[in-house]
Amino acid sequence: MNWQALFFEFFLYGILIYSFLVVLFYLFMGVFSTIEIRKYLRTNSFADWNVLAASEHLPGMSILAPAYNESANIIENVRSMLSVNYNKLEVIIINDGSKDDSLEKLINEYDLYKTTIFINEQIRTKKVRSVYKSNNPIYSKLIVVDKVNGGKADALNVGINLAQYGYVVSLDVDCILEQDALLKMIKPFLEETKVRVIASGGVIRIANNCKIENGRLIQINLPKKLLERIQIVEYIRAFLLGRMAWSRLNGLLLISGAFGAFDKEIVIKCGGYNYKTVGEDIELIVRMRRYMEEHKLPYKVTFIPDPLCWTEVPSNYKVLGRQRNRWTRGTVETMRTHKVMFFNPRYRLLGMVSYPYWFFFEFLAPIIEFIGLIFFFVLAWLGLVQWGYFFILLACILSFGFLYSAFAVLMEVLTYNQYKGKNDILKLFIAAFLEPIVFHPFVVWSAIKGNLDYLRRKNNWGEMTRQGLNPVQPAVAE
Amino acid sequence: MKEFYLFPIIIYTLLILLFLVAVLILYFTIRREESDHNKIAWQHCVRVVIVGVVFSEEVEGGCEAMTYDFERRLDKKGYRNYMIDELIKTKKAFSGSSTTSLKLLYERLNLDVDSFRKLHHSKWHIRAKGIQELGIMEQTKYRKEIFWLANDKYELVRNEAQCAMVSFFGWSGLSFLSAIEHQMSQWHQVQLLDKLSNVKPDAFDDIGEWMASSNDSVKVFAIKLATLYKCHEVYQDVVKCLQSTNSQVKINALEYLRLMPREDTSDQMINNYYAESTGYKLAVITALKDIGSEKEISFLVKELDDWDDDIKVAAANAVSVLHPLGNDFFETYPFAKIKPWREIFFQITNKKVA
Repeated sequence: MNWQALFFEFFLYGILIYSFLVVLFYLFMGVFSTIEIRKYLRTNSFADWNVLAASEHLPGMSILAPAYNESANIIENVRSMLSVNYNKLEVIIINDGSKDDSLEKLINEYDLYKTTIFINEQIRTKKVRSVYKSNNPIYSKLIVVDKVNGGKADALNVGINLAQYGYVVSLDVDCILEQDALLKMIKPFLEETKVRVIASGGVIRIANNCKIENGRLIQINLPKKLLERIQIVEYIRAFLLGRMAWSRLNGLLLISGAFGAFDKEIVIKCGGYNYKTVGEDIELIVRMRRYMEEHKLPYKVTFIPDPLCWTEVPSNYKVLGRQRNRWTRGTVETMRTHKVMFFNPRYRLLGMVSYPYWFFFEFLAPIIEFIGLIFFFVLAWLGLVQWGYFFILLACILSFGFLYSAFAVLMEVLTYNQYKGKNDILKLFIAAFLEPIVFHPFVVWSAIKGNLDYLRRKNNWGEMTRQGLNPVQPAVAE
Repeated sequence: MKEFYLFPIIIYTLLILLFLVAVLILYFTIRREESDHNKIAWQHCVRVVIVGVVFSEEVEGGCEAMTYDFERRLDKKGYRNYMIDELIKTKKAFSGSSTTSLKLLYERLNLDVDSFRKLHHSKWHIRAKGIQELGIMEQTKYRKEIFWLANDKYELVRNEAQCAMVSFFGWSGLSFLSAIEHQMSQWHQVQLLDKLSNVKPDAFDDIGEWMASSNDSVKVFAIKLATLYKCHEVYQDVVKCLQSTNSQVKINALEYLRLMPREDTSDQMINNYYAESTGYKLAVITALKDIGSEKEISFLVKELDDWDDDIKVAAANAVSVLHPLGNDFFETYPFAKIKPWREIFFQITNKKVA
């Protein structure tokens, strides 16, 4: 056997083994998420949310919502946060040096006055210019902070320093929360008797084309654009299957920055959000877990499958590309920062399973796919491709991907069944079928660009233009 | 490369699975639509009966409204469960005599037997559901069976059994606290406290015994009860809890002492202060602001020098309340012009900035 044949065999079997492992992990996720969701649904039908909404016995929670140039929708968004069902609540809006009139709008609408709150700077941040509270007792839960621009992570750190309660909820200011979202979110923290729950995540759902009035979600509609529908399938798959499975194993590494709750004490002990990364959400969870492992403290990161938070997703490829590019850079930065955990038995499941999974199947997957594609073109050019095998292999991969997405749609139907419009499920099914053709290659390409940008040390957030959840209003830039 | 011949088999398998998933989606979508359709059809019948019961003086009012359709459907298990759910929903929303009428209707339709049957189901969540139904519908005749489940190995079952006992007997229903071996979660404690919010006990039997329990969660819950009911009798028991090794027990004991102080309370709180955690220290200083006297000022002034800024803020707040000079004391403090004291004192003296 010559070296070319050896290389060919090695590469081919390498790809095959990798694909086999991917399939195996997906199978495991399907099984584990099903068990976990079933358990959750069985236990959570017992709580009386109406009684708990008024309970004085629940611990306080602080919502932290950084805002940068959110003037178009900020009044409605803050109203939505203030209307959430929770008794002991404070809403901290952090104006991260917006260049628009967000702050003026807030001051006028909520009758704010400048107050002198001493901020215990347990986490170092950029300078806080002023803190505002409302003269109107109806808005007594509202605190607005004006600070020098320092990015989302820095703004969240200011919120953590200022928060008076022991549990903090990070929330993108443009997200719409379900009324009982915080009650459902606090539950895992209080349910555990043996271990400390350090963070909890909730499902993010897509609000494009949904009807929203006064900051509340009135009607759930399937988006009209295929790109948005594909992202619905992708989100269901990622949240309902992926994260629920990892939650069961207590191996979850990511709680979305759009909506997550944290034990403030542990966050502060870990040093808060890392402002040097664009993936501050994944980095914080990894650091918190690492801290707990290193101090040998029993802990848990939980995830709940209830659709609690609704957000807008990119509706064109340009913005989607920027988002995925940023996600990739965030993953790479986190993997690099915490590389000491890679197959390190000291970190138990975190080091031996969670981290390697993220490394091989989240970080490396697009790179391997891309290299595989180049290799394929080279072989095709050299006339070495056995087209029969190629098409069979391709059909295998595509049908498994489609099967997994279809299974996610089935889980959605069996659990929360949010899309009840005529033919909605069929449309999702079609979106799942088209995803590998019109969506996945673009996501892989964006990830490759993200890796290249990381190597070029580009660390900008990337402008995220939104259509706005209320179509009457103009586009907003984040 | 013989193994490549396996691939067609894999593809066929995947396609069959895909077909199965598609069929399942279709099946469950249709079933769900049918179930929604059924519920809409049932809704009218059930609501007529329930509204009849709620708004008439006697339970017979509801019975008059029982149509042929309603009674015919009562043979169906799904319909009976739907009826139970609707009765429970309505009972939670109402109070007074109408809830008694709902209870009587529940019994008259023998729905309590359905709920009781669930207690013997093999699945734990269905057992818990049965207990919850019997508890909300105040079916005290099943108390013995339910009491035994208050120490069940399944958390949800024992939680529902404990809630049911409190629904039945109020304070007396808490007798399970003397027997439970498992830890009570904070979530469950909140639920029990919410259930007890309208209960006014005549005597606080057993509360001292619960505070001495070897189960720390029982201890915490007993202190919360004593705080909720402003139970002065157990003062000494609560003071003893300050020696506990469990931080939750101590923090809850401090809250009780803050609300029900005696002459020696401040001394008891400060006793072991320097060996405690920051959370404990903050709770003590916050409590001293409410219950302290001039006697504690020197202690609090000393705490203004603590390394933790949160303690400095709490101590400054307490001093501003307890010191005879009030906020003017800050001007006499040697580091008053230095960061962070300057900002802390400024915050306390100027809540609003023009």
